[in-house]
Amino acid sequence: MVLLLVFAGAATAFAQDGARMPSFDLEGLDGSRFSSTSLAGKVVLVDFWATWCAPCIQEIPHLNDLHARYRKQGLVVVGVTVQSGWASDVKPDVERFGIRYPVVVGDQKVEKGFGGVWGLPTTFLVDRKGRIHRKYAGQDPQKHVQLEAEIQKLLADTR
Amino acid sequence: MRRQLEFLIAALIVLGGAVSCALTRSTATTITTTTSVAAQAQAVAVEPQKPLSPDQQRVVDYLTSHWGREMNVTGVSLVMRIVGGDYTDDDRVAIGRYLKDHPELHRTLRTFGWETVALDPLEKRIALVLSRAEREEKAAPSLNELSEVLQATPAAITRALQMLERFGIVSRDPSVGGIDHLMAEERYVDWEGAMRITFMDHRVGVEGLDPFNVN
Repeated sequence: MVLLLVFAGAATAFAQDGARMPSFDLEGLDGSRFSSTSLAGKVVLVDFWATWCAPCIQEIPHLNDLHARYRKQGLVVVGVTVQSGWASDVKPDVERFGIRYPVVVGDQKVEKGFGGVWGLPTTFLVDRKGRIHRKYAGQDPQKHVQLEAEIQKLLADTR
Repeated sequence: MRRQLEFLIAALIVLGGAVSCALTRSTATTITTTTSVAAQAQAVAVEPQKPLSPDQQRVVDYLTSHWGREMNVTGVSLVMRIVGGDYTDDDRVAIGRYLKDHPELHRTLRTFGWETVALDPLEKRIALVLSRAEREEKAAPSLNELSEVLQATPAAITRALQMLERFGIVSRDPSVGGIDHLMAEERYVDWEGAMRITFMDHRVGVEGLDPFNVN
């Protein structure tokens, strides 16, 4: 039943018009704060997800893979939880799912700042200049292929 | 106006069924966020919180022992019927306020919000309509319009509005016209995206189990 809450079928990628990634300062799972200022000059993948969202969970291995392979080149993967409870609720789930990239607890302000999150998962790619490059709504088997191609392009762009 | 309102409410009902529909809708529609926030219009009167009665506590105990099973997000009004007894609107307000004040009771409250379980289906539908109208800077519907499109009597709409006011979801403001109510907090006006499921209501029947709600 909860599957009704997530985007079914193919992910849809939307080119963005260069809107700036919003500033945010969100709670990490270890009690620390995670600020968007730490992302300056990086290519950023922001993934809005929920701990009860099966398609979101299916994507985790792919996001772990991107995190592992491109981190040293300047990619930061950030998971932002939506409607998943407090940090203390999320932390055991993150451990259970084996997430190796940073996860923070989202709020309505950050969702709005990204232009609205209308279903889960919703993934944003941000270029090194802090501009939202692309938005992916939903999940499908080819999403990680598209993501990787775009990440490679953004990492190569050092202008 | 009525046609627009009917479309709006039909859309909201569809949205209540599956967020997957929101993919197309959201990409086709630019939402303008209003800056006229109801929270600044009027303060919501706060009724004093008393300790729960044994019957009210019975509802809370049922909820906390069932939430999370089979994706159960059952609301107070359904549980009042399940456990029986002579429950009133005052009981639901008391229980709703208690749940609001005690998110530590259960992860369901922290995940989906106390509103999801405190409001009844009609209250949720009215809240959705008013929230979206305000967010899109459209005129609030009149009592008769709400009554017609929600297929509820004016008396039922009025009662539901009173409950929404008591819960602090809407506040009365005669200056806005229409139904004379605005959302009481900015977060309700900006009830966007995934967070919107908080106002949803789905009921499930499974053989051998009590009926329950899911999101």
